[in-house]
Amino acid sequence: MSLSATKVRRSVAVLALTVAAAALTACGATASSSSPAAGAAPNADRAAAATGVSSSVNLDSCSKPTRTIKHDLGTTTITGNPTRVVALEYSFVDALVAVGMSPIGVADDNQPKRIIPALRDKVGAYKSVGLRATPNIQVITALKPDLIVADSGRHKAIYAQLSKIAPTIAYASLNGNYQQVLDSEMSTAIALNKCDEMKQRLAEHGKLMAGYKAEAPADENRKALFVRASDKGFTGFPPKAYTPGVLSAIGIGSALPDSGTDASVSLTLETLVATKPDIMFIAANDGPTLRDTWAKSPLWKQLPAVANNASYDVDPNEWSRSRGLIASEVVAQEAVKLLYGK
Amino acid sequence: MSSATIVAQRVRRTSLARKHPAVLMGSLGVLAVVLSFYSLSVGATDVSMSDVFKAVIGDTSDQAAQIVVQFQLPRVLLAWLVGTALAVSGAVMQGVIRNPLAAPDIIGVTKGAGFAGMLLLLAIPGLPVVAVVPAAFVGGLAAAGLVYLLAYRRGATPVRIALVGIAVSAAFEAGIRFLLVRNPLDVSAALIWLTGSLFGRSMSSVLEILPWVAVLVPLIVVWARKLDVLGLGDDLAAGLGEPVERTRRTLLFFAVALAAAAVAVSGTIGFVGLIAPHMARRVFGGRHLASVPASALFGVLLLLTADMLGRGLAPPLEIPAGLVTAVVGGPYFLYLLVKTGK
Amino acid sequence: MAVSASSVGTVPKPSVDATHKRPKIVTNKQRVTWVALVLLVLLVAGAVWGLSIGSQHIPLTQLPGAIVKADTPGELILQSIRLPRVVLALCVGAALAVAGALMQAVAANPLAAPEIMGVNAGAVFVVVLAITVVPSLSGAPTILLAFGGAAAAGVSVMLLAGSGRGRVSPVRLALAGVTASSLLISLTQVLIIFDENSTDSVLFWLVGGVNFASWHDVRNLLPWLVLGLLGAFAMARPLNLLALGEDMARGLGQNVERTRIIGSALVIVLCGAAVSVAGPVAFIGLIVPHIMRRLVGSSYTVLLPLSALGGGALVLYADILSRYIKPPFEVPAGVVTALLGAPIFVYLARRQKVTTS
Repeated sequence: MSLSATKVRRSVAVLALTVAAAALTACGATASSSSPAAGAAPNADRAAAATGVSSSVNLDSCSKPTRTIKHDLGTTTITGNPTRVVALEYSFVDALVAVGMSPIGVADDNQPKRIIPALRDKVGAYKSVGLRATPNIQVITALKPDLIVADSGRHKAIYAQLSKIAPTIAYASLNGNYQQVLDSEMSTAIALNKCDEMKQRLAEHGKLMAGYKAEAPADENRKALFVRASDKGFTGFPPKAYTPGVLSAIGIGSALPDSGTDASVSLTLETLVATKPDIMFIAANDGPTLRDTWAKSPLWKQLPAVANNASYDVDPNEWSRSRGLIASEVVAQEAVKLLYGK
Repeated sequence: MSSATIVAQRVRRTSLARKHPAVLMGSLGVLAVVLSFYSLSVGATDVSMSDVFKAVIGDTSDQAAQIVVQFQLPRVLLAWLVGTALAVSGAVMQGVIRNPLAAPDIIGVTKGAGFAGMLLLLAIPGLPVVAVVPAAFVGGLAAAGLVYLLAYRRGATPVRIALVGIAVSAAFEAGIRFLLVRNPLDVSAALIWLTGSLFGRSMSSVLEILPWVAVLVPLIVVWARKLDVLGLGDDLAAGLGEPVERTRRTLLFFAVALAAAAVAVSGTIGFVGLIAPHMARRVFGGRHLASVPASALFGVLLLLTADMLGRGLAPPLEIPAGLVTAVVGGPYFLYLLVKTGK
Repeated sequence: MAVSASSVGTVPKPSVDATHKRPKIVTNKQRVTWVALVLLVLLVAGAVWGLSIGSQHIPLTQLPGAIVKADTPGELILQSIRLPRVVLALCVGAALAVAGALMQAVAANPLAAPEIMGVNAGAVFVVVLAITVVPSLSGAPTILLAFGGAAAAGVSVMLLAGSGRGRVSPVRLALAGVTASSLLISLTQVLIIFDENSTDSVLFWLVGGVNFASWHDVRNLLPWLVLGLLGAFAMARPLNLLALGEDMARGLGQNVERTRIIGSALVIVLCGAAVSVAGPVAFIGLIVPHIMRRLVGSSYTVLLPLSALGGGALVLYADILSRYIKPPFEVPAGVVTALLGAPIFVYLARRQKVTTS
């Protein structure tokens, strides 16, 4: 092989590597999150049959003996009234409890404590099917369910197998925002043939949230920041995400700018200072977290939220992990209590 | 340390294997089959052996058992195919690179496939999961091709292949980390896929890898003598009339294709390709006609065991098989090497 | 017989070379001075740049005030956030680069580097294990644990590759290191996956960075950094001797085993401390010594200090660059060093002149 040919080969390879690196960066510049843009606040003034649910949810199947449900991973037909339901995310447990039902199996990460108190009492006995990330298909099968509700992101790969066990519907829970959570609960209720119960519950929900909103003074224009704190991270959630969506439904705006499609943003103390949150809700993990380290800094004390005693510690299970109708009411109730002492 | 250690002279054989290699291999095969049946019955819910037999035959009298077997069967079949593919790939690589530490991982296949798969999974979230497998396969092949190209300089010597392979793997690993950092919410799922497991695989996965194993493994066994000859060293091999570079290239292609298919289908299960050939050589000697099929058998046994342990250790938790092979295989391998002084 | 670096010209090449070209122990004083100057300028420029980026604009005239009293928010940000970050980046970079150079000397292998040898992975694994079991652990105890992990991994890899039987081929060492690394990284990943508590930890322990640097971290690292650097500089001459070849060095009266052991211990100290504070920032130990060698030759009396400067600069700039990936939000610096270092690693691997075996 001649020297120039070797050189050519080498340059080609180097060029290829450079192009690949450039492509990577270009890829990175474009959007990469998977949560579609939807309004953060529920469509409260819609005069249709279901309060707060967006128009994409098809209510025609309600109360029919055979119902066709369109969900994130396809279309599923369900007959009869499912009673043995396996929920593979906490938000689906929420949906079941909202219509007075109880799951027979839950993917609870082997930590039953993660189910929030508001749900735990009503859930009763269930069988754990393992991690949300990798639920145990054998256990699910053994439960002989007649409906499975899965997360369209996490469980995309096993959707086909789940469908063989029982009719399976899938929604975006992990990456879902407030509107999507409400929509998915309505759709789940249609699948369960509990339309009227869910419509009623949604109406109650609307009233409750409006009630919480009313507790806020009319001129409330403080901006709130919701963060998860861990030992190596301080993660904020932009306005379109679930928890800020709930807060916005009761009239509290987000301190973070609308960042397009990012589902979360990692904050440093400096960016936190630049954000200037008037209110902070901090959901911290167990053990020492960055919050503890930063709290020692004078910069922390100068944050508007801290200076005005508007920085509150909240439970990660209630405010972040359990995304659902009932969970959002818990969040709203606690927010109102913390902010206005009611 | 002579590089021709792989060829028969210096490797120990047990006396049993020397006298009756076929018998021993047959027994290993039987062991694998027995283990397969056992694996079908083990899990979070135990199925009795008789039910397993019935279900395999097609007797649908016990519904639950039948479904369980229906899901376990692809996993077991996959353990056979992936175990064979990885082990044979490793045996070929160790023969071609003339180094007992060589494994499919080092030529960039694993990381390349991982990177391609992750790129698709994370960057294009709307993509159906089906598309990931061919992408990962192509990625693995492309990475290995890149390694070969970069290592080529008047021929690609084994040493250069190994070194460049490690470097290219590191490059793809960097790419994978970049992707992880850009998509923090999906990190757990991505890492689980990357760790390699047989979780949730269905018959389609089996069919995807079957042709490669069915075609390439027999081909490699037919070429076993060429592997022996290559093991003597480039000069000797050329002296014996073997077109060294071409043979090496072809064999490497076989090894890479097998490894890429395995990774595409089950994620990056490590150490099987490293340990199985070792065990095969210790028991059956260095001649590839015996050690290649033996590697396959040991690979199957390893993977079956890893999968079973992963499912049975802490139900309903499913420990990925790739992790079990790492935890068990890693230390065992280190011990092996220190003990034999190679 | 003392061999003074500044008086040595080219060393006569010994006849047999099994794996790689003998290092040229040439020191051109002018060149060294130039390179040192350039590095210092780069460092200062980098520090200035690093201190100026952030979500708010803070004129650097506030810097003196920031160091002295830190009253205004601007000064506070400079003093408690940006300054420790710049300083930590410099420290971590220096530690890893010198550790890499030491490792290459001890293993007599230009491809030896903490991450390739599993040393970093060992440190990370032990720290993550400790934190999983005892979540409230932090600071000084974790550094000691990191030492243990780094030591265990490094020693295992050396044993694995069969050192002590004479020169170990680069391939063998690299392969052994990769095997050990991947094992440890798998284990670490699993600890993190099943904790499911925070992806931030995952990223930190997989990738490494100085995003949340505080003076606390700097204080933890500094004593070990100083110890490691001073020890390394003191070892420069013995290492130069070692580089002539084991037999030659022994012939010249050096205790080769002792040199190797002290060198390895220093590597463990520097890596363990750096990793426990900033995670496994990749490739510094590999590429910085290599670049320095190309510029100023292989005499460790100049290579080590210049590597320290170069490593500091590299991590500093990587951290700065990482700020532009997803502005204004954070990405760990380890990603940048990995993406930058990987192609260079590939280039190095290709250049390895090895005889066929």
